[in-house]
Amino acid sequence: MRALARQSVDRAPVICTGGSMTATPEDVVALSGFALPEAHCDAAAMAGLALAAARITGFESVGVPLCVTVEAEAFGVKIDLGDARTEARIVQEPFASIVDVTVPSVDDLLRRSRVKVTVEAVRRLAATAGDLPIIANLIGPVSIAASVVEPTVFLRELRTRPSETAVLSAHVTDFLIAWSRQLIAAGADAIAIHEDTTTPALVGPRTFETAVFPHLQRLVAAIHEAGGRVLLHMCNALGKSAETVARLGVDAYIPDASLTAAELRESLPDVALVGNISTFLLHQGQPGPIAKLAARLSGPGGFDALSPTCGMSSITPLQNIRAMTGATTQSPEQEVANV
Amino acid sequence: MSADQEELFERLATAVFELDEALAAKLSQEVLDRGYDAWNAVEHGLLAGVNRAGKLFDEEEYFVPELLIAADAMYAGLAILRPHIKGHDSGFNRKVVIGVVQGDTHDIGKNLVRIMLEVAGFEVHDLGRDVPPRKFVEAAIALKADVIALSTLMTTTMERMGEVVSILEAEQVRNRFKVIVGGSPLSQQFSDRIGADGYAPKAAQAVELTKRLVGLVNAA
Repeated sequence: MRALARQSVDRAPVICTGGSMTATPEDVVALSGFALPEAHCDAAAMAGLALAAARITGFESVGVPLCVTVEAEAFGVKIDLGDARTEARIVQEPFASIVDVTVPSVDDLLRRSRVKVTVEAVRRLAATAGDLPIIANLIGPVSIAASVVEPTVFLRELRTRPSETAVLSAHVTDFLIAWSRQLIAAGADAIAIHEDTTTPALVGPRTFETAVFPHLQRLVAAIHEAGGRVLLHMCNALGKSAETVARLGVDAYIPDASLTAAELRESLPDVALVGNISTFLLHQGQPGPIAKLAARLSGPGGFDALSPTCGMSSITPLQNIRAMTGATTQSPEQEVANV
Repeated sequence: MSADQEELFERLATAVFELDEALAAKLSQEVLDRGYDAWNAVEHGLLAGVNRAGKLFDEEEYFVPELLIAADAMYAGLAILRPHIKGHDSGFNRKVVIGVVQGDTHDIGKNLVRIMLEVAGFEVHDLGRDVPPRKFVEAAIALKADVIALSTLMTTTMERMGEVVSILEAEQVRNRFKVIVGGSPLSQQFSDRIGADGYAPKAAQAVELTKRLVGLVNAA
């Protein structure tokens, strides 16, 4: 947590939020004593698997939920929970257009899907996770809206029906705020927001500013007010939206693997940077080069904390993950000896 | 082509480019009312407009919402003009089977590629998303497709693409189809490893790749 506050740390911690940043590849699940998809639906198992993942991998954070489908399911999206190898995913969006949308009330949403399971899982982690920061994962409000309505249609309607899409996005935001308050009250130290669809690279700077930013900003402010820190992840480059993202006031930003700490530092000077070990290298590379990359990314001028990005493949070898988490805890001499 | 005709086609292109679906439909009807050639209107109006939108997309002035709306305007005009196109004019009769591989339901990228292939004149059969490997092969054989286009956004599901190639080989039909792959976690190296015929990092490049693979343009 000191790294997120950009306070001095003796070395960069290696974290993994869960949610879209999968912390539970097949190898980890196999050693954990828990099973997927069962752990997506049971608070004790969700907390148990999240904590076991941290212990097995060496990640210095625990995060729940372990998937990206809780919110969408609350809004009536059909979900396939997958298994240890296949991630939980959306099967069918309930609405073909924004004009057809009817949504449950916030109180009702908080009772639906696995929302209560996640709050209870955080409560259990608060009792069991010791010093490890607890991160709760949410999908960004407009990205959720883009899974309530068929996403290709929704992206058009962000432009063609801006007031209707804004009403849905605002309602999703109300729900996320209420849920975040429960998660923080249960013991979450930080909320990681994964804006996985409506990114600047996809919708462009103008639409991001008018249709995404206002909702994200309200959510970030509410989380801060409730006493939680905010991490934000989006895929692809920020481009002209970097200044917009800087105005969100998030505590930490998790970029994808294409961006460097140096360029991000310029556009987001006050934000802790968490990144950005390539998940391809983690999946297909060797421990030596992974440790080397981790040491370099966390070196001078580098990231404040390390994390795989975006989602680790479920068939990522455990030894590669350990090479990453071990890299920043060793002295440079040891690193050289190991490479 | 008369100046009036050219001017109308230009207005049609502008309507598409400026994302005005209703105007694109109205002007397409005007093409028919004035007795102008439908295929010329498609080529110099609708497709020219969507190509301009695509160019701005490459230049990061237009983004996905704008491109989708431009495509809607194009399709609105096409729905009116298509019944009046004489058979030999349109397209070149090359078929593409496209879909998102099993385990993944992210289909925005696939939809963009589909639109751009259609704009380029390909007959595209969209199998949707979460498509099992065998279904790609069955559809390609049944439709006598030229190209199988596979998409995924997830590292977990990339390997499904290799399965499609393996099934084609097992069925001894590999040489009947070109297989192309795309999606943000992919690379040329991955494409080579699974034995695909090509990889494109962006939608517009997928069109160039497809044209090249079916012999419509010379290899670079």
